[in-house]
Amino acid sequence: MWGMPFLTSMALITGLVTILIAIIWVLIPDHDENEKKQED
Amino acid sequence: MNLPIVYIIVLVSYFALLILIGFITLRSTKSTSDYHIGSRNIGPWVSALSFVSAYYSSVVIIGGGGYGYKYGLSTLWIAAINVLVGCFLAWVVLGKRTLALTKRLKAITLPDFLAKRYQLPFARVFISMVIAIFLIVYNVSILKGLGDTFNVLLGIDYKLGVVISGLIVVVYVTFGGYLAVVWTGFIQGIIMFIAMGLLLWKTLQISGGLTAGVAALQTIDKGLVETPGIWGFPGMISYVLVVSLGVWGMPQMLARFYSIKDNKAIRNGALIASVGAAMAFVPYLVGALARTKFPIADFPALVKNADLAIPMLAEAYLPPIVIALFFIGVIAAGMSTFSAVLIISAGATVRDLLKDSFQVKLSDKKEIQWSMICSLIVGLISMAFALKPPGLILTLTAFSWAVIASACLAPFLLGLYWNGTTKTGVVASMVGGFLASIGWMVLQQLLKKPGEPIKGIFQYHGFIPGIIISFLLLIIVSLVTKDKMPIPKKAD
Repeated sequence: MWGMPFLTSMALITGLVTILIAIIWVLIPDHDENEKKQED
Repeated sequence: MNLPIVYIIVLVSYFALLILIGFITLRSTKSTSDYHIGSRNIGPWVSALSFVSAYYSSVVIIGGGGYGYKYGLSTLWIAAINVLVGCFLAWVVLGKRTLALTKRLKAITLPDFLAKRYQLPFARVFISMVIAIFLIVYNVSILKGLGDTFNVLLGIDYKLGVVISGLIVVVYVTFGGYLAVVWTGFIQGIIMFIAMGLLLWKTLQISGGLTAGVAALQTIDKGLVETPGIWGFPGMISYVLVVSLGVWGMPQMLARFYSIKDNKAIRNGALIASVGAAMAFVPYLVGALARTKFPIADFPALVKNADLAIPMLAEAYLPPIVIALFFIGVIAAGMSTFSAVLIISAGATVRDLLKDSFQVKLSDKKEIQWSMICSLIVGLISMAFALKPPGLILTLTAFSWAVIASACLAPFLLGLYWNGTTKTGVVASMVGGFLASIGWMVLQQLLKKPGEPIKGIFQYHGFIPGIIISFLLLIIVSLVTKDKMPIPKKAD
């Protein structure tokens, strides 16, 4: 990627994948009941 | 000192906005809970961006550029793990549980939480003293970063830079408390994001694109584009862990989870914080690419002080308006971190030490007044030290993070998840982690020979043995002792 060696480009990929997972985490609904129980 | 008018307009408007927020939030601060955590009603955007702006100080932007210049593209891993561990996982693993348990225990500071979670007054005294002392060390390094930024980018005297930026923060934190800290942090986070975007865009433009920049860097030294390259694994792993996992035990970061509105805000905040934290890629990348424009052979000043890499690049290639915005971004990074740390120091001293540990009777109104006075005093003490900072200030920054996290992280994290913790285990972990990190770093200094890098196992930062020992002690001692402290259940 952009002429970078594999391990170095993995740093950029790690950042991007983390953001993708964060998007999925927001989009997939949680079990509200469990949340409410935990939250008090 | 001959400042273009655009700098003065941008700076004065920015400072006026911060002071205004301090006075607006003063009206909303009615209880001690308001002053320390903003009454647990902060939304995801403000929580997340103030988390990021408290996380990244000017040391990350200027110092990150210096690291990129010195060690090359392997420093991008710092940013990657900042996003993954320092932000996303911190929000996912700590967010909901911290909010729920601090609400249940009515805890509004980290020492308060540990004392109530383990019914252990010792934790309140010990941790609040560690926080009060070692966060001042951190304050000094942030103020030094601010003074250097004024000096390098604007040509303003270092001491004047420390006094101007320090006083403005002290004023808005003293009057506005936590609400002023998160709202100014939110605005400063947006400014930092814009500034990093502009810096990246201009740097890629002058480098002829990323591929051309990487190719040029490779011709200087292959080790500048490889991982770990010329940095080496011990230095890389140590630094990455301190500035990513260290966040999990830093009270000024954890405060964002006590004050956030609800679980939905935590889920959205995790995404916003992760995207915001990705701005850390910019200083490391730009610092590395600066090496192609300022080769070490032609710029000997950069051998001694690689931190000059980004300011020099900005000065040489960016138009004045972009430099002014970049400068405000760097100042915003330093001021937001300083304010976040200042409010935590005041809370640890007044609420945890004076009121709860030494039983000084204070009404709500008096406690707010004392917290204001304490913010002022801690701010002024930090500024006084920063006027003549010790030479090893950057080492002291990592030192303060390592010590605080080694004492707090294991009891805090396992306190959220594990029913098997015991009081004895918690005391052993806090004291053992604290001593292990300090002892390791003192040994490092004793074994260090002038002009030679440290070899062997002592290449690793004191944070690593501190954290390992604190977790091991908490788990092992808890397994062999009987004074169990399960997670408090919800009251019926």
